[in-house]
Amino acid sequence: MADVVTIVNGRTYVLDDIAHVSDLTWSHGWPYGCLETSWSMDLPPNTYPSALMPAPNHDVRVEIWDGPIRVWCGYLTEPNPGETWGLHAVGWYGAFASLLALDATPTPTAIPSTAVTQAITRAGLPIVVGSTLSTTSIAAADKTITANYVLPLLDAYAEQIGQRWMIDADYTLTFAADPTTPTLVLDNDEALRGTADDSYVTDVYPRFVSSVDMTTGEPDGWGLGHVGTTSQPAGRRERAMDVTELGQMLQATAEGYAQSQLDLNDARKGYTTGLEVRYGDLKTLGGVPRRLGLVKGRDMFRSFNVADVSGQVQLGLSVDVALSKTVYRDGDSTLRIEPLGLAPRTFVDVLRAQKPAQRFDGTAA
Amino acid sequence: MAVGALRLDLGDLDLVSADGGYSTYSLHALGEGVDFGEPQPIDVTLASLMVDGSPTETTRHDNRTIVFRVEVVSPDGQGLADGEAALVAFEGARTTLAWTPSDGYGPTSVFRVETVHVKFLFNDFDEIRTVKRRTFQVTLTCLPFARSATTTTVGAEFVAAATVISDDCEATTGWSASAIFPATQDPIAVAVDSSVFATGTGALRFTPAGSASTTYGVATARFRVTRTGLSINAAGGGYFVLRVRPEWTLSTGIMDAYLTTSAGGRQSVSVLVGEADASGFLRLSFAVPDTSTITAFDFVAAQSVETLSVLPAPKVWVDSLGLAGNSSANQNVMAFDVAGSMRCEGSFQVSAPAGLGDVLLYTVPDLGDGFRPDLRRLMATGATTADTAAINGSRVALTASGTPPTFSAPASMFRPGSYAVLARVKRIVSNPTTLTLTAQTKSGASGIGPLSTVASPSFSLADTDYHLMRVGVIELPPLVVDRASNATVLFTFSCAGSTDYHLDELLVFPLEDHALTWVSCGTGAASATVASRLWVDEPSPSRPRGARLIGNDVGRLDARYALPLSAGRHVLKPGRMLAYLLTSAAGGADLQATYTAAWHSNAGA
Repeated sequence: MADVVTIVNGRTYVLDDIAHVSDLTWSHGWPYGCLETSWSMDLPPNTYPSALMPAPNHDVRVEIWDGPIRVWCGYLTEPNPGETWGLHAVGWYGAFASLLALDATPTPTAIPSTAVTQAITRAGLPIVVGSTLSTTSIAAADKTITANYVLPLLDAYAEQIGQRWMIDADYTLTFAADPTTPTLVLDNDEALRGTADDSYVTDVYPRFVSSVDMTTGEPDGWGLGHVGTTSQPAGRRERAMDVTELGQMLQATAEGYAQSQLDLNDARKGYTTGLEVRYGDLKTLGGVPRRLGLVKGRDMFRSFNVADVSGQVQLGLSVDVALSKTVYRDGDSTLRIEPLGLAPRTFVDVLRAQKPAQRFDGTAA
Repeated sequence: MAVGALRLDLGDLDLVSADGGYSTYSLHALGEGVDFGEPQPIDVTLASLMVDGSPTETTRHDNRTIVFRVEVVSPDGQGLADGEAALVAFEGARTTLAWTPSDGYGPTSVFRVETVHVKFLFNDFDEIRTVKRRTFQVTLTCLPFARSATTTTVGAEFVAAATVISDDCEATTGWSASAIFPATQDPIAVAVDSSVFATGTGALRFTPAGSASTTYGVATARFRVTRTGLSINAAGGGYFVLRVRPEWTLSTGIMDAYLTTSAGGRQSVSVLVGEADASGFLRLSFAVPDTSTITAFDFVAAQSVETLSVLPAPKVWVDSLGLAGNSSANQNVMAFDVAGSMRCEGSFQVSAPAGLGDVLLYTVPDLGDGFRPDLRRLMATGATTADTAAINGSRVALTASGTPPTFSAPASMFRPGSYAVLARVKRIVSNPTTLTLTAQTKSGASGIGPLSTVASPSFSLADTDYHLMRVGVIELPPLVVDRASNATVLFTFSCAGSTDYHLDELLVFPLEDHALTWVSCGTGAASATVASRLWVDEPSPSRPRGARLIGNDVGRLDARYALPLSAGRHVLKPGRMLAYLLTSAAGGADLQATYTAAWHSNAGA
């Protein structure tokens, strides 16, 4: 029985005190951390309580509490008045999609640390930077021609260092590599099958700018690097990686970025479905079931129900799976989880994957 | 037709023999066709690896529907209409239906009616009789369980942690034991055991002869332990305290206890609070029956365990017998009995002479596992410094470099699940820090199983006062063990960063119970901004989320809304409940629980 709380201009409102809250659902992801939440409220159509009204210069902050523990934080997006109001909030990662990567001047910058600190200051965001962000540019020069948003800058930076990032329920921005040690064990009836080969790659070839004409400043030489993995469980698959927009660089640098991408994707098959787990299916290594609403993206579990190609469950085989998304509806006894490497298979997911996300353009100014 | 004390009242309408006053009608409920309905169970089928059958759990009950007919009798049509108006005044109303059985001994059962619907059942013959009548069907949607007519208020009895020990059980003088079942346990040897004890240098071990009685896979044994020749002056009241350690921890009852006093003779007493402590003993407290001198004490230790083999009759250890006073501590555990046959919600009132500070209230049914959320009392290693601002009277250094303090708790105390970790800390130098709690199950001195860890986000404190901080969530126990296990959990609590922080209290609360209320009431003298009273009101149809109010006036004249830092749901189950209360600024605060006992369909009190 979680509580939704809004904070407007420093004042906290428990929404259930105002009107009955139902259908509270929240999701966590890796990357990005707190993803989104939605709920319904039995408010009459012609009211607009101050608990949902943004004050000048302030978002309506939303938090979800499970007893004394905060499990989600973000900000309110458009409320939907009606017979029953539908409300929706997005995690703080979404704010970075609408804040530009600028330095103090302001000029578009490609330095992660500066971009994040300045964006937080300009918008008055309640975010704490938990990891040390790079103070050097991720592109060839500090300043870029395009005014990029902070979100694609952080995504590009994360890709370069082989990590992902999130803003967790404690407002902390953290960068980290994918987990390698499981903290949970999946003890359920459904077998996990890794069959999707969408992101299966064994060799990455980065295309980079190797030289630039000294008179015009335009690139006039390009190179191709190569990194590969020796373990190829399902044969050789190659991918080109275009880092030409980051400007001139050495081959070793380009191959470093390529290696990071390889680490993120690994030479492994992806998954085609998520899983519905019940309370008690996900336990700690000591055998204690974790409360469903507290399972988050980046948690890694070990599953012993692994099916081979023929669909037979292999005894003695286990697979370690990191979670990329969890969706929980308050009060439910089941939790929806999606593993890292979930390939788009439903129509909606395929469309979403095809829409070009904001890409970071690091062309030097 | 009225029989004895029989009554059926809908709100203030007497359905047994209402008469119309100035109007000519009379009105009564018909006994034929009454349906009191049933609480609607919501059952959930659990998945399991069982080959046949499905484990089923009833998670809650939903409303019941009560149906009966009411007859309005009158010689004229006007009277009939007046009677109908009196009944229909309840259409759609939220009211009560009170049913009192006929013999005058049965208590009144009150059903809380959410809404009423009345339907007119037309009968042509009834309309043309000399004495006319009209019949109506009344359908009531009610909350599922019947309630008692009166509320019960239970006051606090907090036992102090310190015991004035009269007998530290270092000698067998005055102690004896005799078998109850099986009789072959006699003679029961009494000896001092210097390897198992709670205080001093040893405890008394009672070793029965022979075997326990094993039937159908369960071994049981009971014997009575008696201590005579005591002379404990209970003139100031207080609590008689004893530490007991049964050999079989799985299922043990300390029952049939008697305290013999100089004024009252041998009187039956019941356990007030049972708390586990790290030596594997259970600290039992009994309220003294009168204020004379206690001369003797005896109790029955009943033990049982599931087994297919014949086991030797189990032993019992006893230690630290004495008297403890009323607690003036800032944190206490209170046990109280809940009447009724079904669960209900309870309201709580906390009060003190001055501001309460941070109030934490946690309630849980007494599961016999001795669980208490506070871990400081179980500290194994740590450097303490006296500090009057600390609720424990001293603080423990959480050194950033050096040895962090450790706490040792019995593993059987923790129901497996996710626990919220809170810590009351203060800082000396203003630098950010992270608090980290690690836990590992230990068998003897060896760690077994994985390490559980939780770390707080980085934070700084603005001043040098104590603050109650959230550390995070940890799953306990770190390695699940059998309930009968004597394994312990070793906690280590440390701070990171470049400065030292100090710990006053470390708390763990099961999140599954959702029964923690945390409200900040302010410190100092009671005023408009500092509250010395907290009311936690139960949820009800008029207040679906319950309420947490703070104020100073006992009549609630200044009671106002308090933003909770955690809003708990305090469900009272029939039997024994435990309430843990922490009031950071007020020692010996009073706690009262108020509830209306719930029964299935007929009240028993």
